[in-house]
Amino acid sequence: MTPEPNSGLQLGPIGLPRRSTAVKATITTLGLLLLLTAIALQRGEIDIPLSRMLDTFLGRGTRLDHLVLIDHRLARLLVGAGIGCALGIAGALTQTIARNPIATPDILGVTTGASAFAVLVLVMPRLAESTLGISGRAALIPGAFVGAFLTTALILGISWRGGFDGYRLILVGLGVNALALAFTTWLLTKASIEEAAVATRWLSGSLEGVTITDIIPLFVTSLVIIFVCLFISGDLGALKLGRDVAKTLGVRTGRTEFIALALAVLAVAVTTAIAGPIAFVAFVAPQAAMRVFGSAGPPPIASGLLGAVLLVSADLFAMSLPVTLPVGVITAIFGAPFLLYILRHQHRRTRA
Amino acid sequence: MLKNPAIDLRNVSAGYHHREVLRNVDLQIPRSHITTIIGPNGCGKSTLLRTMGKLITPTTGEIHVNNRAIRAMKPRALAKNLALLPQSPSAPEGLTVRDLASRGRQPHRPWYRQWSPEDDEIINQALAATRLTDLADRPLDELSGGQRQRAWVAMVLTQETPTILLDEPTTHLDLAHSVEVLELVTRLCLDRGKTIVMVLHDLGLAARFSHNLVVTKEGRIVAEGKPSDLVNAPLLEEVFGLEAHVFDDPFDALPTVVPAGHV
Repeated sequence: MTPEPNSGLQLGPIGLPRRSTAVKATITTLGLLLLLTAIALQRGEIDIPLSRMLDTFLGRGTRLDHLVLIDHRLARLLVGAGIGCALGIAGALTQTIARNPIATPDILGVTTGASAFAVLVLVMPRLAESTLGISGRAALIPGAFVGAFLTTALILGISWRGGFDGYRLILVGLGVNALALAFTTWLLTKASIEEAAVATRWLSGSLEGVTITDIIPLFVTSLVIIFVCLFISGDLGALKLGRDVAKTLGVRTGRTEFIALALAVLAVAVTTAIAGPIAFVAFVAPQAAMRVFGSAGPPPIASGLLGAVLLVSADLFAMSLPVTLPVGVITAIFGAPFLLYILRHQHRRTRA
Repeated sequence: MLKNPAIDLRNVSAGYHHREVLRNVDLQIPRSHITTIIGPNGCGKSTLLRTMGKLITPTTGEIHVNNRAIRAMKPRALAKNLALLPQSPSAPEGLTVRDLASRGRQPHRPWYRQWSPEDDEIINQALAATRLTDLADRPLDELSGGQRQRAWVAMVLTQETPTILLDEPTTHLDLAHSVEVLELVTRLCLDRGKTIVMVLHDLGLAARFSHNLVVTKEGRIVAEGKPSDLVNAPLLEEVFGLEAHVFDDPFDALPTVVPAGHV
């Protein structure tokens, strides 16, 4: 085996390790994102040639072109990429602190919890109005945040015994998931038919109907998450060696774990409020990033990049089908077999 | 009383969940020596080591490392003064030897500098000292137990602390690999002046590779001193309940323990 040349990059006080696998993977992923952007912008019912696209981006296009290109295609692309990125990072963070690939918000029911409370806000607008002071779509983010926070607290409260055990975590997650689903179902039965229809559509996890205004909360959230991730990346790297070792390396483990969890809860709340629950991106993206970027343990920022690629591709795939399917269905179809693979692999490792 | 000890414990009691494991321990660890804690299972050896490394907070008493109270030290400051390698640590799949070794730089790195040429230099030196330079880019899971343990020692070395605590560094290793790790530990002390405190199971290895032994029983320190003064049949009988012959080996004149083993 030829040793990988180890070197680094230095810019003033900033220093970064450089690994050839990670550099190649970053370039490839960014290239892929660019390609997906090109596809997403040109595909659709209306054919817009490149010259008109450029005109539109420079603000000289027709109103129709602007509507199709910016308000529709670009919005959907950016929202998809932003959600994928936030979910990918969220998954990497929770997988890192639990040292377990199964510990992601979508598998453990945090996403379902966020959805349940978002549905609560949707079907009981008066309750939202009286407690949050707002209602309608504006109340979705705080509603989802309360749900994500409560579910996380519940899962941690039941499963934490000075550490996470993989199987206890997934069992508790299953229970909490079932609880949140039951709550959602009950809410839907109580709702009027119109409200229930809106909520059900939203519950399938879709990028249909997202608007350019959704980008603002999403990008603010993503930027905050990325920045804080950079800030705690060294501590997270140490946590991959276990809590004890991390502590002996001077990491405030409790604080780092809390920050990581809070970021994950924030990501799940905001993305769920915008597009509904989208399964398996938070679970698959970090695991894929680990393999593609040649990293031991899930790399947060790289997981964000791959999350964006995964969700945008899944959405493009969903749009290209003869029947319109919400993107959440597509991610579930591709994500579930991967979960089974990881479970099987993990089981073998514990027995070996 | 030692003058200027590396670690100073005064009347320290500690335990887990209200169960007291250490009771009123007073102990001074000499600088640039190898001190080994021995004792029967469940006597508080690991607890003592982990309390020194602040993985456990004592219920009473005071611990000083380099004459500073660890209670008042920030985690990073302590990590620059004292390194602790817990028992059987585990690394994520695919982590390379170099990656692991570089983790020891963590307490010295600000968040925006995860790499620097000085770091590289220190990491290369640690890999050379643990004779892992040729295996630097191999994942840990491909190595033998002894090589893996040396990689963990490399991580502790890049932490560049004057004091290193090792919790059972030879667990799960066969005799040859155990000796290999302990020889490395000895070199760190003799060549670099590191203060070493470790917990060992094997009395023979402890007697051979230590300057100073600390014998614990039921959470108290029952004896302390040079292996040649300390290891004898009555002590083994009293502390371990073990009937054994102890004699000096003909080569190095170090105490050797042979269990009587009546059948």
